[in-house]
Amino acid sequence: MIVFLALLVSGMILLGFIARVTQGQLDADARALITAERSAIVQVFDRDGISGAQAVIAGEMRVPGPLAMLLVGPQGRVLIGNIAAWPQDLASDGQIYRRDLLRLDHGLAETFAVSGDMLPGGYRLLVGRSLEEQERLTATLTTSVLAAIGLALALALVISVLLTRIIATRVQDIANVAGAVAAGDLSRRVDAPTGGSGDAFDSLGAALNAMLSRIEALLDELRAVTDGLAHDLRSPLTRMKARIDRVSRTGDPSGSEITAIGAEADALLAMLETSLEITRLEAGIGRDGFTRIDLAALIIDMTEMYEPLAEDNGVRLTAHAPMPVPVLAHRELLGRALSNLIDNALRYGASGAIIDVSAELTAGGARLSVADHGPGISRADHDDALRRFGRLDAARTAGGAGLGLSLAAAIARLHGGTLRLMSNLPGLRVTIDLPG
Amino acid sequence: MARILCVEDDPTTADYIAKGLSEAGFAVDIAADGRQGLFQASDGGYDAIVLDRMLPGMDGLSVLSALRAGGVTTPVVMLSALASLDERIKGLRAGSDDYLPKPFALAELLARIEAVRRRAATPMNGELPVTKLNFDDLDVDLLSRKVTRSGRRIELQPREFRLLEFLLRHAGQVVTRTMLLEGVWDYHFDPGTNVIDVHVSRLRKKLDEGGARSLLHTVRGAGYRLGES
Repeated sequence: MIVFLALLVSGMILLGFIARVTQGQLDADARALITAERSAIVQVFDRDGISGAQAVIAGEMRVPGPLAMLLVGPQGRVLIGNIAAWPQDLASDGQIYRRDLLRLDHGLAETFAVSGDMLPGGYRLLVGRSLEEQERLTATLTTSVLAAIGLALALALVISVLLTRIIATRVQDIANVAGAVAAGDLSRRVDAPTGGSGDAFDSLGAALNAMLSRIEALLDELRAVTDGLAHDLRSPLTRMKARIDRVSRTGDPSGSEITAIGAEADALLAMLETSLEITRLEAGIGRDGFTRIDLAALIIDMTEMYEPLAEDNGVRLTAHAPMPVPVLAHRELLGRALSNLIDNALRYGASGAIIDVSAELTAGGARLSVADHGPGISRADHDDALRRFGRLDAARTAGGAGLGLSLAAAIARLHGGTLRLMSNLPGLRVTIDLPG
Repeated sequence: MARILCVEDDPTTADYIAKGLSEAGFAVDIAADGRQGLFQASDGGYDAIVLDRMLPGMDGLSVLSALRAGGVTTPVVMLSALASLDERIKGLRAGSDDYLPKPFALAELLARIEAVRRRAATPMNGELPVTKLNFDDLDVDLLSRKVTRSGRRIELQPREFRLLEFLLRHAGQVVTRTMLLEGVWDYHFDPGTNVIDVHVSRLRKKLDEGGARSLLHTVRGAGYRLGES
């Protein structure tokens, strides 16, 4: 509607402009013709006298044209010309006026641009040009411009209706999908060609689809976390309940049941705390704690911390960092990630007897890795192992809440890095690549 | 009897802390919100303050800042459900002497209150830096890093030496695993497994070698203590 109105207004303005320009041009033409004719006659008059002027006018009048001419004597007697008498209201001052005159050889009066001049000796000269043709031209022009505008308007109307319909349909598609998603069907997607040549609607649809996929993935993950949490909470809570029942029935003279209950509760709280910590890390909290640290020093610290425990488990824990590896990182968090990885390696890979921890510079930054020679994790299970609460069934019996790897991965992501699992042939190698 | 002010709005937790501290021989007053806590703490009559981070009216950090601005130097242990590292740094920066994430074990709180009280009681004059520590028949020279027990030389790894130094500086007090991790390794997370225990038992083995009576004791459910039986 607005487009339509704008078109209408601009058409009107265009029309006005054209009329004014053509009118101005035609007026100027008439003026120039009158002036030229007049000065030619005056020139002849000055040279040859009145008879010369009469001869020029007679010559002009033999050719049919738009001119009106009249030469009168000092007493107002008509000497030559194609109009009957000098018009009453026309002054002889050389100015150009607009007058209706009747030419002798025409049946009807016409509009003329006309001027009257005083010649030496009391003669007066009238030269005029008919404006009929000019007005006809203006009329034709107006009609055709009006017709053009009308046509353009009709076309604009059709196009805007079509456009509105097309936009409405495509927007409605998106709205339908949004409505379905709001109603709970997260699997709905907008029809959008996947090729690169889409228009704005296609890219809107693609962006919307990407957003929906992300939301769906997050919700799935959330569901997995909630399910995993519920699953992992159930067994310790059941054990606690059983112990509490037993204590309430038989008492607990040695206090060992209460200690066991306390230990279960501590483990549960630690699990919840870790889960919250992962959430915080994923929200990017902790970036302001970054300082420049040396990964070589970090792995030496951590292996030294775990070395006695490893030795008690019959594992040789070695740190391999031949040169300093400076990175911008959160020392505490990275230490925690490394501690989780070493802890996992001791827990699940102790049978391999050797655990290597290393830090090295890479082309893109730095790499930390913890490698054991235990049973490892089959490639198909790598993704599951990284999921929160994604403890592999085989590992459930070994204790732990299945959060260690997730936490380490979240810490890697906080640093803009990635955690990867790969086979150590045999065993598991976990690497954290950090950007430089 | 040492007096402790506990500023905690949750009555169950306040009661739990008060009971535990009373059993440990402290006289405990409870303030239920920040303003009252600040008012009670301002006279400076307490030996230590246990301050919750989240309080109605005036939160723990503001109370702490107001106290420190008012020249009250009573040691403060801050409690908080906000366990993340950044929160901990904020708390320490505002002037708390220690920061304990909730939930916590009472033994941990007791150990930390003891530690901050001891630290506050030791004059801060750096005129004569300590160069020798000793306990019973154990002597440690911090400069030459020589450790002897009844004259017998004991060889320690650098980390074992720092562990022993930390325990000696807290002789007679209960030192928890997290306190050791913070004091000796400078990490604030809980490694979970018995990483620290293994270090302590190694140190104990070296110290007690040759049949001497044990100096380093395990305090059940809490941590360790260097002291007489």
